Amino acid sequence: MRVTHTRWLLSLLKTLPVSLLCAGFGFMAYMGMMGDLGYDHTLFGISIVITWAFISTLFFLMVHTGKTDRYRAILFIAYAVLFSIGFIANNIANRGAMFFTEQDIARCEIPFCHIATTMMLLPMAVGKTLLFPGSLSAILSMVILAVITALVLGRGFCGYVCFYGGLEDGCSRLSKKAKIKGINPKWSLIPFAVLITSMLTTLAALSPTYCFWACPFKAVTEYEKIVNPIVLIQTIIFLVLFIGLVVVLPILTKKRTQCSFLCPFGAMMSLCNPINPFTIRIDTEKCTGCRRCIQVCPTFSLTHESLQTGKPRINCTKCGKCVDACPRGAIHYHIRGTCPDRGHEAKRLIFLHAAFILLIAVGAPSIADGLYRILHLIVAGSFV
Amino acid sequence: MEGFLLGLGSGTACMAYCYPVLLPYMLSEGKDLRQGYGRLALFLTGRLIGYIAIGAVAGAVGGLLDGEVSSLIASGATLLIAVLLILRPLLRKRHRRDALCTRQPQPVFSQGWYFPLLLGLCTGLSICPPFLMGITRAFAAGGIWQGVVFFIFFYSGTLVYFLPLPLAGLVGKKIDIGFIADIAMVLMGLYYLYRAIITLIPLI
Repeated sequence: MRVTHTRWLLSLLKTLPVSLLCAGFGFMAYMGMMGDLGYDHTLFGISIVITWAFISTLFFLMVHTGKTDRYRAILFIAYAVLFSIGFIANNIANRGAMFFTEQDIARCEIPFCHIATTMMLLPMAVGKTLLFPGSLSAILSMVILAVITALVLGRGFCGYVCFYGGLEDGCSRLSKKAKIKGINPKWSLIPFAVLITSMLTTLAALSPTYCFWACPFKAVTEYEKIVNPIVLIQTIIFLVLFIGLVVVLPILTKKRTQCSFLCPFGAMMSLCNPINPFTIRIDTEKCTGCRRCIQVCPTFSLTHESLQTGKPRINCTKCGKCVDACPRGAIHYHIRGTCPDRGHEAKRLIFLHAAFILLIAVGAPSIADGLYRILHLIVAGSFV
Repeated sequence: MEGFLLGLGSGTACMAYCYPVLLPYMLSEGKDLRQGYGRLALFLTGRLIGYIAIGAVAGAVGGLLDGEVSSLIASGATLLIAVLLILRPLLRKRHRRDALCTRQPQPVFSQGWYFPLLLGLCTGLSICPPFLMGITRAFAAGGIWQGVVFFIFFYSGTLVYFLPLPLAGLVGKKIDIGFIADIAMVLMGLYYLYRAIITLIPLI
């Protein structure tokens, strides 16, 4: 009994830093958003408390049970859904519609997301130019976020911090068994080609081509008002990509297909994977080759070769699904430069703390905002 | 000297116009630096031939070409770039497979001396702002030979920005860069196809 109590207390203690950080960010969000947006005090306060309790509880469960992906997924999916709700509601509150117009583009009032940073790099390096119709502060904050995340988490960004990833992660968990199997992992190299193409076409066209032509997440954030045939084609493309890669294919394959086959930001973060401290390691002596990890990996990051070398492919999102699924406990989080045979749980905790610090900094206000919109809907009958 | 500096100054614009065509191709062709610089030289030769052709026509008509004619030439060249970029990976894959089946040396197209030449020619013909700037200044140089010399120096100035390109083939130790470059070429081809269609529609 005493052992159980001690374990609970230890888990609570390990959760404390994340919980305090979350409370701090919640307070800052409360103070900031109240002034700017004129939110209802009580409702927004409640949504912040729920956000704090939600994140703290899930982190506690991760620490206490030793399972990573099971609880990460709940938070990640809720984060993506609530982000979309909050984003769309804010657009409707500010502009009166989900779409933006050419006037909004001319006024540089288009919100900037992390995926667009990939396109900005080449024009910034070559022409010292920012090619995005957004505010400078938003662009700079996203660039800083991308750099910090690249150094700290690498492609772990896509498993914890990305505010879109949870949508397809959620869809990939809807079916019990994959209907489409045996996809060649080589296709997961396509995002690198998309990265190269989007950078070069942005440089050539002097406009963020990926955002206008290929981003599927416009379906759950904002899109350009259809005023001509070109915008109509762009709208059809993003809807097809969203339905295909974010909804249908994840259900059929149980994989994150948009992240695996399209996202240029994921490709950029994959390139940063080798330079950040955290990685996943497979104990080749413990591994029996049951291939369960290959089967569950949502991003084609594990192959037969990975089981032999003990290392995942470059595009690993460190989501922990393979760590949870391995029946022999042969897969674990690892910090480069440390002994690979010891301290697996401590390394997992250090990684989770790093990931949650970034998740809270980026995601907690979005979660609170989305919750506020839902509470507002319940109480006042309207999102805005 | 003025021509060289002008070329050097407009190099970033040259990169914006030529890198999208050239980079995926250079990436797809592997890591041999000597061959890489050879391909680059062929591309640049093709581009120069394109410029000379435009310059000669412009000289023959006694000034810069009519807007509609130059747009038509540029759109046609862009369309050809699109076709080349889309077909190149597909044809090369087929030839590679045939070569493996018959155990014969790869055919000329896949070893490709004329592919970069043709790509460069089309790029040269799809008139870009740096070229327009160079040729306008060349026309104002005061005579045919002064104009030619000015343009040669201008062209040399822009070349500096192309020198690092063959090094791109050196990346990709951990990932299959050839496959990525092939996909990128097809995607770039689709982009150029779109650009060609958009500019051709008003002309037809």
